[in-house]
Amino acid sequence: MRKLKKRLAALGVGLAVMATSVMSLGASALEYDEVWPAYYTPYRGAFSATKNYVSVDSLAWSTAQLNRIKQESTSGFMGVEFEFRPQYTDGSTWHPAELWVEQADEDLNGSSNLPSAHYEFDENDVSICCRRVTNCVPNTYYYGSIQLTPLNAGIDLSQNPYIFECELGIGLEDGPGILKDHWPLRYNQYRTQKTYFNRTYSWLN
Amino acid sequence: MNSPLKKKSIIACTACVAFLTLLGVGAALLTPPSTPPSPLNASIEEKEDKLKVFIGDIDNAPETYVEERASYIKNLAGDKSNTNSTMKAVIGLDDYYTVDELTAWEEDHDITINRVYMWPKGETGRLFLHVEKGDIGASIEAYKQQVAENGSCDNLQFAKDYQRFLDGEYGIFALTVTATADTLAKLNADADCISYVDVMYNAEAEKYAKKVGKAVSYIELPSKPDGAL
Repeated sequence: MRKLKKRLAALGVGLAVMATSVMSLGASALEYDEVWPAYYTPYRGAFSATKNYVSVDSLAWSTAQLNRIKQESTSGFMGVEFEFRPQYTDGSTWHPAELWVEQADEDLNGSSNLPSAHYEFDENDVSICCRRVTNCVPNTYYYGSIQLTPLNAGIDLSQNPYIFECELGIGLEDGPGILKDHWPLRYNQYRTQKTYFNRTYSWLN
Repeated sequence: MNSPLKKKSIIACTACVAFLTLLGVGAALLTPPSTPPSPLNASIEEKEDKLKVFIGDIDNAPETYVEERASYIKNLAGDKSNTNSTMKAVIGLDDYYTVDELTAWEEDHDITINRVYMWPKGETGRLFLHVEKGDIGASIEAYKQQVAENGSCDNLQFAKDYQRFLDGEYGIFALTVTATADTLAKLNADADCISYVDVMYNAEAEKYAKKVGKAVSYIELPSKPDGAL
């Protein structure tokens, strides 16, 4: 009987481990790509952030990159987001609303030549978004900028780091025009060391 | 009682039940967790913590969307409890208009323009410009000053497009406004220059978000009259 109990207990533990694995599999939809630039990250570009704006510039995808993204878009359409995640000097996350006026949507100014461009002012980041990356033209330069208003006009952010991230997501269509989800699929962060305000960073692969 | 046969049977049964349970758990977890009901009929994205509802994104919405939103506004206008309350809406125009044309149009109607969307006709991209106190001209001047102060012109492609903006090549293709339901309904029915009116509220999305415990975030992404992105 003891043996049977042990076997059942072992079976239970095993099942719990398996169930946890399945749960992890289900939950880990967002994958991190360590090497910059990942296939969905423009092969070249520049970005900068100050207390007054965030911007991306000279972004370009190659034909091969866009073809690969298109291959993944058979069940929906693909979008990318360029996220700026401000941090305190110790590296802890700074809620953008503690740094900039959390303007209602219509209070922001910005522009972009990305297809279906929009922006987001979230809990952790300010993002320049392109809802239809598959409509980008290979080797064409894209940009986007959002003008921001600092809560403290005199603030000096030059020693503050932030994380710059490129995220790929897919809009899964559930019937015409209805998206049941826009899952973030993968993300890629510029550099492992810190990236600071008031500097311009660029890359060319 | 502890015969090997019984033990084997118990283990086999337990394993079978466990396997089926695991299959069920797996299937449940690998299926997108919650699917908004189709009556939402909108351009919607569901994230882990929020439901993003795109407003004005007509190109990505069902063909019936514009009609349904028009009838929604009509119903709101018919509800006497809404007579004096104002609401925000994205208005898509049938063409690209100049600042002067839109300013004159705004003066003729009981609305406040909060934002304009501008870009050269037929090209990909958009400028979203906050309109202070309904004054488009003054807001453009404020934007110019902001760009000059922030030094965004270091961005070469931006500088190129910005010069075209200064040269008056941009037209206005959409607006965000504040108005009463009655005004919006009348505009939607009578104004020739309007393609669609999309109120920044989706009752079904709100209901669904409440059910799944998520916040709703409305994102303005107006479609253009010429289908450009």
